[in-house]
Amino acid sequence: MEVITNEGVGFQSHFIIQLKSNYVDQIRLSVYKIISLLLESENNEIAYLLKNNLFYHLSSPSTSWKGLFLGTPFGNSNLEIEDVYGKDINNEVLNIKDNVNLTIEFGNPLFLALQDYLCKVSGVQETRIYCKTRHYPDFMNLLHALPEINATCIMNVTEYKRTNDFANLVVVGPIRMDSLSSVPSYLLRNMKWKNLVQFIWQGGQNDFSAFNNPLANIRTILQPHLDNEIKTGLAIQKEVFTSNHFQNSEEEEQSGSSIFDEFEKLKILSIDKMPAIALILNNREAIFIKPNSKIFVLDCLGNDDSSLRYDLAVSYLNDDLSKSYFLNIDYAALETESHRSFEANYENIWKDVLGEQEFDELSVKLLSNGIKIKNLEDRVFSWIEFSQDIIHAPGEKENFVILLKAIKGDIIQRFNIESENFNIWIEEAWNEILISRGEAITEGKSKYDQYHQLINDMLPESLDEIRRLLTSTSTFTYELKLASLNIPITFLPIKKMQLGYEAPNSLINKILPISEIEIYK
Amino acid sequence: MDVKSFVKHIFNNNSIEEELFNLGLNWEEKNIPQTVLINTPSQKNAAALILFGLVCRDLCDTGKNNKAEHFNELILNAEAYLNQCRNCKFSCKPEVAECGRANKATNELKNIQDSRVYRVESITSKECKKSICVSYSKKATKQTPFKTNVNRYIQQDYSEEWHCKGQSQLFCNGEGSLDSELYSKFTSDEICTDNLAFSYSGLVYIGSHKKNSERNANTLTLKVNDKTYPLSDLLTLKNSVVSRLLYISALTPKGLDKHIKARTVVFEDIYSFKLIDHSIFHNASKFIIVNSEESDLKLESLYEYYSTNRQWFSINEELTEEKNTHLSIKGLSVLVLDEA
Repeated sequence: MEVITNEGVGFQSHFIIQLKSNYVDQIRLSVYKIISLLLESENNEIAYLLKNNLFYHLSSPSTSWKGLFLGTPFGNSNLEIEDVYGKDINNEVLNIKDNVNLTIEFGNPLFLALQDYLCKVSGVQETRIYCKTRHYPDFMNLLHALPEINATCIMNVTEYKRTNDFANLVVVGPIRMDSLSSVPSYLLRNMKWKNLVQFIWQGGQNDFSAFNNPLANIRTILQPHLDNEIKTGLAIQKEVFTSNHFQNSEEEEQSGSSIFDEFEKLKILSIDKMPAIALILNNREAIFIKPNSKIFVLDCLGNDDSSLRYDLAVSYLNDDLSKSYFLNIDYAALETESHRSFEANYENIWKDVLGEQEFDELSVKLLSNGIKIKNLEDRVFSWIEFSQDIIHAPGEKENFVILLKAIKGDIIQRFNIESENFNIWIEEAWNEILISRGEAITEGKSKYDQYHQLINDMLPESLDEIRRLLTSTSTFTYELKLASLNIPITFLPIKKMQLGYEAPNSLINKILPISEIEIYK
Repeated sequence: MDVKSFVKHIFNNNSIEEELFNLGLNWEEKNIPQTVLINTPSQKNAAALILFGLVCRDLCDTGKNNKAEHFNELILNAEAYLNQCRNCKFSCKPEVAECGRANKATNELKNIQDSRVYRVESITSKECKKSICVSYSKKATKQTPFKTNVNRYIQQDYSEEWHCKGQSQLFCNGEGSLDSELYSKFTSDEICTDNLAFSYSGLVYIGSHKKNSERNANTLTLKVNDKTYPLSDLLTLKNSVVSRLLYISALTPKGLDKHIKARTVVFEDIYSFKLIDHSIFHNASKFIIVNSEESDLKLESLYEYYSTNRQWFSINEELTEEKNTHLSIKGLSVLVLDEA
């Protein structure tokens, strides 16, 4: 065991136990090679699956690595991998299979290391293991195999908040800024533990100043040229756990030098992408749409209503697209209009009064009216919050009335409302809330569907107008105002339709420069 | 007993509380605004303790009361009310009216001598001296069968007794003023007697909700001369006529306006820091408490704020170093930023 740093001996220590195993190193290298090859040949899904399986095995004490090919075609022994995916991948797959067999024979080094560690300390010290839910069964298997140990699993921050101080916090994998981190920073900032015991595969790196002191992070943000040598006040100690069975020492050095942190390397494998159709609008612009999107297709020859159709884009893949249009709704323009269009006169008053209540008194008053509210404080905070779109308030009118009656005295006293008119006052305050809700719904999250429905409903009336617009004008885009609604709509003429794209969700339905779409092919 | 050992004793040798208090007490005001980020272990009353230090510091500074600006502020408020808010059709929706205000100017003034509410009528000026005309209406009685308006004029030299309704009064005489003996125990500098009787709003406390902040402060009660004081009372947050700080709730930012002249602002948590429009405080020093209980999400938003505004901040290494060497507690650290 070597002590790496030991500055300002704090109360806490950080133990890093590095796992070295040449057969797992072989597997990791081969998997990385396969993933690169798969990405090259556009087998993104398999690559993604393989990445997930790899990360699973890197952080879970499964008894062996035999689940690595789960769900991928490589697990299938009948498949001629060489014929389908090429010779390079086949070689790597065979190499992995050999090494996976070794893990079955000698055991998963992570499992062995954890077992070793837990047997050593856990009889005397209280130990908590932080693990993700999906790794829980494996950890439980491990713990069940060890009788008489004082160790349990923690799976989230809430559970951690409930625990008392303990001796060892065990985590597996690198501590990182992103969500791939082996442990939420909350557990590191609120030290209920004495020793942090981190199991990490060789090559794995803690990418951010561990023990995320938020100030240190802000310092790094403001001065990124400095290196992250931040005094953590923790004594860091490193230990190397070597799996029992090295094949030979030469190979160890070979693989050891090229092993890397796949959390860093494979982060780029985007998970956000989905299949998309590219509509080429003109020489400069294109747009990605979902495969089930609809387009307008105008048949200029006929005169009846059916000549303008709103139909699935894919069914026109082979047709002449010269008279088809994509309906583009400018959501950005709609967002800005989502302010309340009415004046709220009552809201300020009751929220003011409510905000100044003693919670204890209020809850007694409510209780006497037969209402018991859990987390009254939180609820009140959420009710008195002001918003642009909606008046926050209790959901049911009944409850709202009881709430206001509980603070009746204060309202009357403060705002000179006649006592006998108070019920009417409540009534009006409630109406105000209803109006705000109604508006929020029409402008709320269901906007997309609603407008589409509206547009569909209005189409029969407006078809003539749209047809006239589409046939007469020579410009490319048109704007249409549908009846009372002021929806900025553009009809984008489609020039070409192309399949075979995978675009990030955020780019769907956005007009992009044509040069950009090639990246997502 | 000298002050230092008294403070040590009063905080029961709980060094984290003492150090937070001292951090506020010994903070020197600079000409350029600074941001002080304070990383604390789970400590609910961190903001209150720093504020208490700052309150004690400010008591020793002759200029730290609202006396000089008081009449000016009454005039500003009256002018704003008469020229803008009285005839405003937006019933105080500043973002729609685009008036640059965050709140309605009040037309209700009070005099500490009586309990009446006076309404602002007009501003008159005579030989460059302005005065505010306020009125109240007398109800009809048998002797005076008609409703009558009574006018009073507030003049510069006689304005100290007046204050806006809902705000703390400027000063109070005798009993209401703060206990000099009590506060002098916490600081070795001499306390200005004037300050004990006058309110001060240059120190701003921003929390998510007043009741909540009071409760956080009151997790600590201090025992001085066999009397116990909840921290919120010592802060003049509660049960006090004179107020030595201005409390603003970030959720319903009442009283938050461009004209408030904050010198020092303390944000209770990241949430209240996020909710507030910072342009109002661009000249003030800011203390931001970063509690270890903050969720990762809130921390992210703080990081985001500093990465998008990084051109405006630079780390004051010297002061950061100096302050941190004074802090000996695990988990307590300070980062001082100069603002451009």
